[in-house]
Amino acid sequence: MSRLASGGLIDRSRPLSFRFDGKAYGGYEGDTLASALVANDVRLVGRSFKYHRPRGILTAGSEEPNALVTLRAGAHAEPNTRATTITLFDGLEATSQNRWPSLAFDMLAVNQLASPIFVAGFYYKTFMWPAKAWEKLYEPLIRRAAGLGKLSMLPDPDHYDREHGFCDLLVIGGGAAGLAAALTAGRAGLRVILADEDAMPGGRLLSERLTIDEVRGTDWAARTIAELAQFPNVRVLPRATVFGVYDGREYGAVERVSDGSVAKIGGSQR
Amino acid sequence: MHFSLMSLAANALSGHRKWQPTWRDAAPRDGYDIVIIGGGGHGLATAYYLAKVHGITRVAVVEKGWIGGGNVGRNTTIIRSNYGLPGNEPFYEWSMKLWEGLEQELNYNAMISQRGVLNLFHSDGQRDTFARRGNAMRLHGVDAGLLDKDAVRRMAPFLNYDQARFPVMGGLYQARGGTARHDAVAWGYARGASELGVDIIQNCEVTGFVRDAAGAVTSVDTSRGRIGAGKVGMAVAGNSSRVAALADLRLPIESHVLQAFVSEGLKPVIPGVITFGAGHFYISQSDKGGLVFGGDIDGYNSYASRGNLPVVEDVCEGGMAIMPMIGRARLLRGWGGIMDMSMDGSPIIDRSPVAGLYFNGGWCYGGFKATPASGWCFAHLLATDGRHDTATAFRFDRFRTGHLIDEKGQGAQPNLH
Amino acid sequence: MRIPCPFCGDRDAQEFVYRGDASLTRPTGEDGFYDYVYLRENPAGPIDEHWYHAQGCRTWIVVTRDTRTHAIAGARLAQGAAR
Repeated sequence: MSRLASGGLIDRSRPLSFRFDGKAYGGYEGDTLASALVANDVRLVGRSFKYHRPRGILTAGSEEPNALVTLRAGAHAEPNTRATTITLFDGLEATSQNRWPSLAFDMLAVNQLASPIFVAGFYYKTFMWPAKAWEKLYEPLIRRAAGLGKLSMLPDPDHYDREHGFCDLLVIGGGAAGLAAALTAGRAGLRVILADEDAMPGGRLLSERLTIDEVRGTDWAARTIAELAQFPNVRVLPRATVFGVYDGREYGAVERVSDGSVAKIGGSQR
Repeated sequence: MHFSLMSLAANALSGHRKWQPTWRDAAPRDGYDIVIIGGGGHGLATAYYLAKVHGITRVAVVEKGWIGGGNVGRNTTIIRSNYGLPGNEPFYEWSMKLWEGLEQELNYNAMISQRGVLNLFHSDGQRDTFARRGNAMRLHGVDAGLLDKDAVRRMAPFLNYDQARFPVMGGLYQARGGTARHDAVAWGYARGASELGVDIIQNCEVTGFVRDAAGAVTSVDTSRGRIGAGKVGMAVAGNSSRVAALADLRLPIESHVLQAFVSEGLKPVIPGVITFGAGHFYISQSDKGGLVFGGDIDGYNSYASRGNLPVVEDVCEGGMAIMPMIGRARLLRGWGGIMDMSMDGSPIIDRSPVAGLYFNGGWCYGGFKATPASGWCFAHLLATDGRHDTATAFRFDRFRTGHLIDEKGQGAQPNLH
Repeated sequence: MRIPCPFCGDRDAQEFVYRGDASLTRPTGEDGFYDYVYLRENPAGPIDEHWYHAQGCRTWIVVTRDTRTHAIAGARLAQGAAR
């Protein structure tokens, strides 16, 4: 177990249980799936795209290239989800992707033997003979080997909604700079929307031992978020990824409103 | 240098240090028999066929950016020959036949994959319209089949069959339709043309035409100097009006933005190409696993190569309506290109009103599938001054004489085609 | 994209229907009719274009917009606008 005895953002009084590749583990409220796996000394979480080399968790955010898992099963399954962005919840189930028959023993790693031939763009230089073999043989094999996660093929059962938001200032990113900007603008009476992709705004303040005005980073973030919540003219949107900038100062964002839990809300799931 | 598994293996032994550049990065010479403006799929295919079929090798392709950086690198890779009108269908079928032999012709794996194109229909009227198109295809000797709901269900069980608004009743199916790897098409034609002696000149933007006393084009002025030309062929769809303006020409074309999208890589789920009949949404799955999909043009004139949110929402809504499993996939990337929207929705391959200047454009959002035949027919026109049999209807003067090729029946409103 | 309707103010482009180039003058006779119907300048730069506020005041307006950047310089009523 690599879990530290104290510190961090987890609540050690609220343990949670989850399963990864069918095996049961324990974590705490505040964990991501990735941090809980690291705490349980689970190092191998995926395989690389082409050569199926063993891969472990590399980062602590949405930039994660390796720990792509399928979250949940059945119609709610969500392939290619980064374990570093999944907030742990009780009963979570996740599976690794792109390996056969298992993560620990992936037969497709045999591709590595051909790595001198499988260089970038190699497929343009071959697979042309015999003429009919591309569609009948090579392509089906390539298609089965490619791609990472699997769609469940069942209709997406979730409900979604759309909102048109308006503000004077859109702050993209709720780290130290974003929180400070939202605070200044909020205090000045501007309509502010602060969008942060994480479950809790704070950015690097939450993962490093920084101080702002001699206040601990985590405390400063918590205080700022609390003050922002007081302003009727400020909206803080956690779990909101701004994905595009469009004409006329219009932005597109995706907000994961009830991410994580399968708890029923008003009678229907999620 | 011939490409094959053997050459790959042999090069592997020497650490892949002996490969030659896929095409020569040529510097412009003083003059050529034919200068082709535009290093996209159509321009490169034209150069290849000029050299290969007509033996004309003193040819230059001048490209303002890098070859394949325009629409040939941005499309959704679909190839098909399921057009209804007699002015269109023989041309697209000729293109289909050229696709079928392309990898062997170019010795380059363009990943031609004929996994079928399925146009879903959702009402009796739509079924009848599609049946009519299918029959028109068969009258031209092209494969077409009308599938009922059960047959479609066997092919694509994940579609939303029984929802009340747009029930899936069946589909028009072209088995020989499918996809091709778009980058490989550009690079394969470039390699073929370059090996035959064509000069491919990148970072070379045409800034003007030099004309003689009679008004005929004799040279092009470019950012890399003046280049003499016996004939000039322009294949710059998206920017046709800008280049034509250099010769004081106005065209029956407006430039519009088309957006396209790709998801993260997934294990195979979409068997071929599927198009939604009750909204503009079409989808296929690349060999790497990404779902490639798109819909309507944004609808306003644009050279920005990017569009706005309403189309993003429309396309995603169309996808969710017809295959609700797609809601669990993640969008990886969205982008845009510039479409030459013509006044009847069909292309133009013809001599321009200016002597010495030949035109290839007006492809709307359907240019990729036309790449081989467009190159073939444009090369034929440049080499012989005659129209190829399959492209006789793609004339400039059809707008004046009334011989429009209007598949959608929308009239002279480019953004509706 | 926002269209600055002279009556309604800045409204989302989805409220409008796009017609196209507003710089053309409809000829009174046969002369120039072909050009008017089919030929377009299609500039990469500022263009005057007709938008119809279908889900608003239902007025035709002329918008000046740059086709390279989509930046809108202004809009005026089509009625009585210089043609």
